[in-house]
Amino acid sequence: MTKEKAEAERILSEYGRRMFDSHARYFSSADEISQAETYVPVRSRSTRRIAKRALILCATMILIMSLAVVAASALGLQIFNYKFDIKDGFIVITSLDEENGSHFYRPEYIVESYSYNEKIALNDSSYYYTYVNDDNNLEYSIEESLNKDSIMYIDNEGYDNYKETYGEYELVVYRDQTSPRIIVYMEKEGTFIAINGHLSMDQIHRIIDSFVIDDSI
Amino acid sequence: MISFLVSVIKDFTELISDKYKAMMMKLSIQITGNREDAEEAVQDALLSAHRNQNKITDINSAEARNYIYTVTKNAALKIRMKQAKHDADVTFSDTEGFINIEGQPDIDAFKDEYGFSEEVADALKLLSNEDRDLICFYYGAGYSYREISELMGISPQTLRKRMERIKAKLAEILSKENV
Repeated sequence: MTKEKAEAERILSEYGRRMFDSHARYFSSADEISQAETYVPVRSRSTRRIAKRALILCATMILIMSLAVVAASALGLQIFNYKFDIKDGFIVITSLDEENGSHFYRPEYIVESYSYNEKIALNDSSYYYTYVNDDNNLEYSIEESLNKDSIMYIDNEGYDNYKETYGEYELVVYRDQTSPRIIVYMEKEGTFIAINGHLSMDQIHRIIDSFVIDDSI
Repeated sequence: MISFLVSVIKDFTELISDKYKAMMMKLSIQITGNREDAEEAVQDALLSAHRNQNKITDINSAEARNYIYTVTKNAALKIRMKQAKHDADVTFSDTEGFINIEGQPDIDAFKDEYGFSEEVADALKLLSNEDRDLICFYYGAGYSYREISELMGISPQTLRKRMERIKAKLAEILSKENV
C-alpha cells in the first residue's frame, strides 16, 4: 500500500468513527427526554424558494450556540425560568413554567429592510414567524411555544451567552462568535419565545416592545 | 402462530419507537421539512429496523443508535428526493443537504483537528449518502462487508470496490499535495 493510500485509510477510519459517535450521541438524548414533548419545527406544505432558505430554517431549529463559561451539575443549570441541561456537544433548554401560555404574539415592528414572509404552524402549540431581506437573503425568525413542556436543542459551539433583564423580561442571549447572528430566549405570559437572526439588541428590544396578541391563531 | 409473530414484531418496533421515536421524528422533520412526510419516514425506518432486528441485540447500544440514525436519515432523504422531483421551486443540493443534517460531524472541524487540506475536506463533503453510510458502518461500527451488504442491500463485492474507489480518490488528492 502506498503512503498516500495508507493516509487515506487513516482519514476515512477517523471520519467513520466520528460519524458513528455523532449518530450514537444524537440518539443518546432519548434517554433523558423521553417524557417531554419534542419541540420540532414543522413546515407546512408551502412553496419553497431555495435550498438555502431550508438550511436557514434547519439552523434555527437546531439553534446553534455555546456557553462561554458555565459550571453545570448533572441535574442541569437553571438560568432565570429555564433549565439548561448540558449534554455532550449540545444543550437542551426546557421551560420551568407551571402553566402553559395562552397566546401567540406577533411583533408589530418589522426590522428595517425586512418584510414579513410567513407564519408556520410547527404543531398545535407552536408557531414560527419568519421575515426576510431579499437583498441579502437573510432571514430572522420568532419561534413561539405555548407548551410548558417545550424543549429546544442547541449545539453549544461557537456562541457566547449572557443574561439581561429588559423591562419585565428576563432575556437569555446567545451571540455567534463568528457572525452577527444572535438568539434571544424569553417568556411572555407563559409563552416560550426565541428570536433568532442577524439583529442588534436594539432591534430585539423593539421587537419585544411591539408584541401584540396574534388574534388570527 | 400468526398472532404470536405479529405480537413479536409489534413488541420490537414498539421498543424502538418508545425509546427513539421523538428523536427519529426530529431528524426526519429536519430533513423532510414537514410532519406528515416525517411520520412516513419514521414508519419506513421502523420497518427497516424490524427487518434487521437480528443486528440490534441491544437497543441501548451505540451500534443500535447508529443503525437507527442511519435508517431514519435514509428514509427521510428518500422522501425528500421524491419531494424535490415534484416541487419545481425546490433546488435540492444533494451535497449541501447531507452536510447540514443534524447528527453529522462537522467536516471543517474534523479538518482543523486532523490537519488535512481543504481539497480533502471538499472530497469528504462530496461523498454520496451511500458512501458515507459505508464508511460509517465499516470504520465506525466495525461491520464486515458481508454484514454491511445485508444492511444496505448491496453485494459485498460492490461495497469493496466502492471503498477502494473512495480510498483511491483521496489518495490521488494526497499524492498531488505531496508533489
